[in-house]
Amino acid sequence: MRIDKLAGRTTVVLLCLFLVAPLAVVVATAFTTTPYLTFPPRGLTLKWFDVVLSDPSWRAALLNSALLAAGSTLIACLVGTPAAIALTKRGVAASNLIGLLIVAPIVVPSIMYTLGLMLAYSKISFTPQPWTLAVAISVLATPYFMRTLMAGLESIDPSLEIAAMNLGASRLRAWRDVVLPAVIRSFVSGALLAFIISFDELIVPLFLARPTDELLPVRIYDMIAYDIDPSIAAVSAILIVVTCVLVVISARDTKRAVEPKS
Amino acid sequence: MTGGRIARSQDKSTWLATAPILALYGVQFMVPLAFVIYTSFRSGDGSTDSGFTLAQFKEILTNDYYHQMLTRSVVLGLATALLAAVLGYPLAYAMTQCGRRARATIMALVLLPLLTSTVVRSFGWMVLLGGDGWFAKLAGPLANPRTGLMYSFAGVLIAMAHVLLPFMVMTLYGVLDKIDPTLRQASLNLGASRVQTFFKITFSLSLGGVVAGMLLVFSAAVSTFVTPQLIGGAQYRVIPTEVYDQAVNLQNWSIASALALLLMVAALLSMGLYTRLVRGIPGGAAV
Repeated sequence: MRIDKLAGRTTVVLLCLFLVAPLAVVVATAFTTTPYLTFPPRGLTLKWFDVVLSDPSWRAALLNSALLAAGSTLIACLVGTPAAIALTKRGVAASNLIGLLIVAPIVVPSIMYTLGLMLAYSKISFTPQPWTLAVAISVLATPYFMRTLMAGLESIDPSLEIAAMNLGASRLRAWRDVVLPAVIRSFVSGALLAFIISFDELIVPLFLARPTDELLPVRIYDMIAYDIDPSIAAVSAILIVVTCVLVVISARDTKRAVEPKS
Repeated sequence: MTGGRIARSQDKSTWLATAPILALYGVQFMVPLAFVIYTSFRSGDGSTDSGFTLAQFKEILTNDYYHQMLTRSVVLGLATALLAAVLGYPLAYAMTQCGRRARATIMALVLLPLLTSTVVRSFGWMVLLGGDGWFAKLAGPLANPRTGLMYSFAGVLIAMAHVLLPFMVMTLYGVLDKIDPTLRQASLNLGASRVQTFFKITFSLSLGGVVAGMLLVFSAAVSTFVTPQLIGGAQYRVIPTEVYDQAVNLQNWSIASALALLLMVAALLSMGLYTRLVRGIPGGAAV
């Protein structure tokens, strides 16, 4: 092999190792037999997974976060789907402005948005409820859902839908039979992405929900800031593995949502 | 006339279809932002409202404490953008050169950090950057013997570049992939070496993409909260962590709002520049 090619390959492999390093470390430390966190881990045990999975408070946090993320994803799908379909149609005068507004939550620092929510709630003396958290987080997840879905919709040849209508199918039927099957995939990927983003959201609950609600990211955040033990590594390892699976399922479609768009 | 009617009915159905999301964003997004903007020009905490004031902004721009923090945020943003470019370029370039399968693997690996839980990822970095972490050992005498690279500029920088790398790689890949391969071939045929060809053709044609990616990373970096909060801690304060502290711990909402507003202006400016730049580059429109 040529020397420059070898150097190039080594660089890429090192960079890939850099990308996975912090995640690999977390997974590895979860198996340590020591009562404290150490890397590289010593020994091999599944004890910490058992500790986590049999602890009702970890389970409650996991359930709370999953429910919250499901609620937020549902809202994102409900408001995002009709808008994504409407905005993908060509020649709509309003779509540029609306399109810009829709990506705004990605561009505006979420710390500013969350601070604003806190100020607004305090002005009307409103105590945040679990469902308001879901609504608040859905605003952050919706743009990603919509961009994934819109990328899928845009890849469909519009003449297919017109052809179906020319052949006598109603507008709804043409959409259901021609467009829908093709977009299901990007819909599911977008929803998965919205779920992951909602599940991980830390800033919103940090500003609005402490200390009553036990959410998984908040609990992990508190524990790594104040007292680390290997059970956090076990929880984190579970999250990483789940994310990896989801990424493999939807990598092709989510890539489009993460891709910067002008 | 029919065309006009169709266009109008289409416009109507667009409004109808986007009404739910516009309502959600209006109440749940625009109103909170308006609150921040309003509060940033008011003194006191809401109960002792004393009318319009620029006191917070004056305080931020003149007080040494805030001044240092602003500088720190900007420097961190720029350094993150630069490091992401240095690390991201070889990855994006490799993606244009390798086969489909290798490309998909690199893509998945690049996206993975962005999609894994922020707290979990930061936790991994805490282990690697801490006192006896591998990165701290790698840094040798540059690292603090007890805390390693934690609570330092270098530590926050590494963790930030890691998570924001996808934005850089995606932007660069879009631009690099559009460079006509025959240009490279022509350059080689005309006797240029591979290194010369890389710098004269590939690199110079992708320079716009590098700058665009850096703007995008900068915009994301200055507004990142969790990574500097956990890796930087109280010793390495940046604007977002200060906003949190002022708002939640100190209840100083006016200062928090003013800082958040400055943050938004910085993020929007670099995004705006990015958008303008990307439109002008071949391959940029696709990203």
